[in-house]
Amino acid sequence: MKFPSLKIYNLVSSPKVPTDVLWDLSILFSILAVIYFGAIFFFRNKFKKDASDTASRKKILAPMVSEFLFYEENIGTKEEKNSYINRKIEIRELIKDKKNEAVLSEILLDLKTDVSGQTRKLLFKLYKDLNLQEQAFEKLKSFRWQKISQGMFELTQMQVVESYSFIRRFINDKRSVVRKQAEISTVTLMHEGISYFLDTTKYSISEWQQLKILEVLSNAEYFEPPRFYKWLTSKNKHVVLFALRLIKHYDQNDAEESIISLVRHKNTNIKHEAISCIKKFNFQSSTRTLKAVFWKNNAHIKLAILDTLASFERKEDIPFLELVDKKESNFTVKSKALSAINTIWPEYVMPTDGLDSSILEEHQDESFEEIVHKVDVSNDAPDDPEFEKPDSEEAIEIAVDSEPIETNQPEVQLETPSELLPEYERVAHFLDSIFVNKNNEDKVEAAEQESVVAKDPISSKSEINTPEPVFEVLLNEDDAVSLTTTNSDEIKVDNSILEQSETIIEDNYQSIFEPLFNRADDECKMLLLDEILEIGNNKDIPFLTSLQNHHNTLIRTKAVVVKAKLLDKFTPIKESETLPLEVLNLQTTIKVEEELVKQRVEINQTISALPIEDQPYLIEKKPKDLMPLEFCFLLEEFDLEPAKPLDLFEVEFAPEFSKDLKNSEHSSSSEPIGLTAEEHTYFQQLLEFPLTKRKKFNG
Amino acid sequence: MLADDDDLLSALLDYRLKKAGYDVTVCTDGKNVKSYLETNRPDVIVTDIMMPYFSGLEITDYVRNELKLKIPIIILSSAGNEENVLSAFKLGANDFLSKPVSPAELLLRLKKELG
Amino acid sequence: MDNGVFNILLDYINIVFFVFTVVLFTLFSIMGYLSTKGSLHYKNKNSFGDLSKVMASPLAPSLTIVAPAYNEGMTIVENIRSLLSLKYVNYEVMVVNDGSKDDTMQKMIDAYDLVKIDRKIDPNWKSKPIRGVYKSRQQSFSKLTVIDKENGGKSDALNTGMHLSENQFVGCIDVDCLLLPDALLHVVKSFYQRSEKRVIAVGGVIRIANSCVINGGALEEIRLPKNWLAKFQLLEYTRSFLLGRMAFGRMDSLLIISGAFGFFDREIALACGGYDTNTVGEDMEIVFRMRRYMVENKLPHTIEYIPDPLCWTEVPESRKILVNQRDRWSRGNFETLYKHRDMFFNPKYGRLGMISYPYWFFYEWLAPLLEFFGFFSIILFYYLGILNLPFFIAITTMIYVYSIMFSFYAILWEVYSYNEYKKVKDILILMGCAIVEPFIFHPIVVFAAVRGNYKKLFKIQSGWGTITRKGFAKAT
Repeated sequence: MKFPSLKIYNLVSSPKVPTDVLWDLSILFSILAVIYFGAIFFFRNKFKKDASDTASRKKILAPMVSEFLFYEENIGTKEEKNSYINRKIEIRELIKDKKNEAVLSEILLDLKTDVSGQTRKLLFKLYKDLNLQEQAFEKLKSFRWQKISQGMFELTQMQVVESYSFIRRFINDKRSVVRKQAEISTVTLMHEGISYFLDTTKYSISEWQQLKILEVLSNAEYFEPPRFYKWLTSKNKHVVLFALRLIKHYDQNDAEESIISLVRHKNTNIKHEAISCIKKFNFQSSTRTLKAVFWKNNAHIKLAILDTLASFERKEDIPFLELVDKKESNFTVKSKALSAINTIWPEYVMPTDGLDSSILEEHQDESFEEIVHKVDVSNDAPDDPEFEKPDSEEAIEIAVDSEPIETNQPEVQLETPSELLPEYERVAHFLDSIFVNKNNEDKVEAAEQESVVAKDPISSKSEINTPEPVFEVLLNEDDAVSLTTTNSDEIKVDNSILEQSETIIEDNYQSIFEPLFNRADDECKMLLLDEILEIGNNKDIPFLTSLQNHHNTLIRTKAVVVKAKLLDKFTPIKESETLPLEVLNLQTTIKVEEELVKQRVEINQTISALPIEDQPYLIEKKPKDLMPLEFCFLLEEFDLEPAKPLDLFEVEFAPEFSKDLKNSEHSSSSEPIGLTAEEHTYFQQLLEFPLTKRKKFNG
Repeated sequence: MLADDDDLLSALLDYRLKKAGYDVTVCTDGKNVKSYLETNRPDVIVTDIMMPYFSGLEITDYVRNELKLKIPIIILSSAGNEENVLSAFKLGANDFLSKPVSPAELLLRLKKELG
Repeated sequence: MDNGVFNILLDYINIVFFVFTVVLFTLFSIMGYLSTKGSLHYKNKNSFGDLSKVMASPLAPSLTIVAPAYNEGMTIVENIRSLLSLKYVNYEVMVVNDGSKDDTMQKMIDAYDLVKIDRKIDPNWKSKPIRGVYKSRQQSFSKLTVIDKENGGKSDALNTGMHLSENQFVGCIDVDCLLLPDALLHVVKSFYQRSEKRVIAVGGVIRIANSCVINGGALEEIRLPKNWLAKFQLLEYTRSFLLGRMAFGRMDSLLIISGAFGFFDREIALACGGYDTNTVGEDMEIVFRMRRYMVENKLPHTIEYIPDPLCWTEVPESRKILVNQRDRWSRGNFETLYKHRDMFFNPKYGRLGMISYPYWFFYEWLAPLLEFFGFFSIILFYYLGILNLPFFIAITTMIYVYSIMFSFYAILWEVYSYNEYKKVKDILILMGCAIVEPFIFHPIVVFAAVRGNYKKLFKIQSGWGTITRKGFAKAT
């Protein structure tokens, strides 16, 4: 039957499977199988033999060790003394055999974990007496990492202090196992080891390693920990993190300023650790910083911040917490904010579940008035609880700021599309983080937020739907700005009124249109200017002023015209720089007299020195990525994926890098990084990511 | 009687206790302890918690509730967490030493238990 | 001449077959090599140092073990007790009662003195409704939380647990697994020992507990299973965990963590949506998705694999249950591979796309199907008289010998690294299993895989349709 096919093989040349090779391979595999078969039993027997060999050696050596350990020179009889000396000679003979030596050090290591007190000390002495450290030192010279670390481990366990200087050289070894063991050994052997380690290490310290080192430190006897704030300035971020943890562990509350400034660190872990230190040491002066950084962070950090604020129990923080409750989309953060409020002021938040929406609206209106009322009270009556707090001055500032807005803003905002407001707020947040003052702004926002919420039904019919994703991009941008402009002194916490007033100006100075404007092309800019005329308010005036230097003549002239009209519309005062004054004037309806006069003087002084360095920067930043209006809004179409990691782990872009990133983003018609449109849709349909941006924002 | 599954430590303690003049029997697992107790009545039991077959706690329970003996029991353990300590005393152990153990301390405690 | 062309065609089939085999062999040999290196490294690295001291450290992270329970009334109390006695301080055991129809809930309430506590639950959370959250009134059971919810399947229960947990890491385990006391320490170590990459998940070996002596939630004596099916599975598990996963772990391209013992970074797991409730292979799918999430966001990450025997479980001893289990696995496998099909040879995913995915595709999914159809075509060819018998015999022998060799190698590693089975007889039995496995056990597995795929493909219209629709609904 098979013959025909065989014939054809000869006729037509087809690639032939070499059957011989197959057989050869089969033979090879069966040989291997037999070898493995043998190896299995070889290893089994070897292990068995090794085990029994070690056991028998142990049987000889262990009693000797016991004898040595409990030999007491003074008490022992002559016989005992003799046998002791004989034993010593005997054991020295025995450990000339390498295997015996290894077994003996194993015994000692084992015993070390089981005994304590005097016996343990004797054990160490015995180890040295028998020169067992020699072989451990030998191991250090080996080129195999497991040998080296084994040697270090032994020396450390036996507390051979002489090895300290040998071992610490390995701290920056590139083999991680060696390095880790060296770190632990260094810290264990000498009390100053921890200082040396933190000073010298160039590598990262894994969490596990931190755990172990801390464990070593807490077991060390008579250990006087160094002041760890010294390492908060280390260039190695792992050292900073570890130092923070150690500070917390050893209750060293002498580094308040540094710790507070670390809340602004780029690394999420460091931030979190700094916040928990703040909470533990009750650094109340940190509230402003905490609030300032709040919005930038992911839910995890936000929770920590809220926790900390709650633990301070300061009633001034309540408006901020309420704001968080309103603006935050993450459920857990929201409920945390509420619980924080209730911790600070029990029964402040009443249950609102199940009430129908119109009643809810009223309720919010009420709470708005309540806040205003409270603020008023705080100004009038110095015996208010708030007033007794150290920073009552701040509270007044807040009042100054929140009231003008509240008096002149509502009618403006009636026409303002409510969707634009959050954008402004966010932008304001980030710009503000450049300057340190925060409370004022939060109050402003609280007030604003209230008014918006109150008017929501009216404004919600506006047709423009500002894209949320734009915020995210803006967020990046502003991050970049803040990083570049304030690298060195952003950390500075300065409470002076002068700086605060500056910030007030800054607050009002920021136009909601500016960010959008910067991203738009010229045609779109013209459109935007029209919009400013219609819905803008006096906050846009400085921005318009800055536009008078724009390179495009059309825009320049238009800006001038719009500004003039706007000024007409809102205020008799012509100079845009007098804006704060105007704000102050407006608030004369409310009684905040005496204190304010002083401040007004201050503010007036600072006006001339108004810093606008970063303003031009913002405007001329990226001429390349300007785009027409529809593109500005088009971003909404994409649920920007890359925004998510930012929330999650704080991707640390260098300023330049983040710029690059955005460039590339825009050049590929504003798509999320790394995802093509198809991939993205695919993602949504198939991967079912539930946490899309949109969901996050809509709750 | 001394019960511990760690050969080295039990050998060491055995040596030390014998040197101090005690008569010591060493068991290395829970089963041995039980079978030893069937025929013998030691003056004091020193036992580890973590042992094969029966833990030190089970031994304590066995001695107190089944054999109804009032022999002093000293527990030695490396798992010195609160739960273990509490349950040890609840079951009727007389003393608790956590590892690493100091032989000198053990001697003192033994002396106390034996009056 | 017609016949000749046909024969050439046959020859080409032979060649394709040959190449496929050779590639497979190469792959396996590489795997063997990598796993050898991996386990040697692991052994050396962990040969000294004491884990248990660290557990009480203030820096030790918090962990939640989520154990879904469905109709486990018989064993639940005992199982929870074993979970509560692990060697670790800062952990929580969260048992999710997935709408059991028996007395599981009542048994837990009685045994652990549970009371309902007030706990706010995110109204937007998409799992099945939660009936209540319970805590024990007794201090000694403070680590226990029980969640009672409507039935929604294993994935849904795990998601709920993951969501309600407030700890950094969550472990998803089968409630009937036996964890060794050290398990959590190893897990924490694995999560914490990297500093350059983020460890998003930790997986471990599953060992077979059939016929082992278990007393009071502790493993007292390790024995070889008495049941033959379990013995074969033991061999299979040894191969796949000791060699396969170890090798993939070494390459940092693990794409699966066993559902019986897997720990995740909660933040990442939730960020990419938790378990998929629409697949039966949820444990594989979540790892795919987490890895994709990390790759697409350009975040350095890794998945750690612990070769130490920490988790022991019973495997099916009846053929029917085994076939059902394997059937489910192959369906899950298919679903996951299909869902993530754009990873196939996609360089964007690096080793995952170039090695892991193709491995899963060709070896885990395609190979059983090929075997099945190959078997029938060989019978067919034989009757048609066109079978190239010498070639057939040669290649079959080769494959057979290779499989034995590979199994032996796995046993060798088992002996070298852990040497759990002390009796010589046990080892010999295992080797015997390796020799007869291709004739007895393997056909069952292949049959189950084919059945699973058949089911899946048969239902393709309805099954996938609904899933796609759901995807749309979620996106908007």
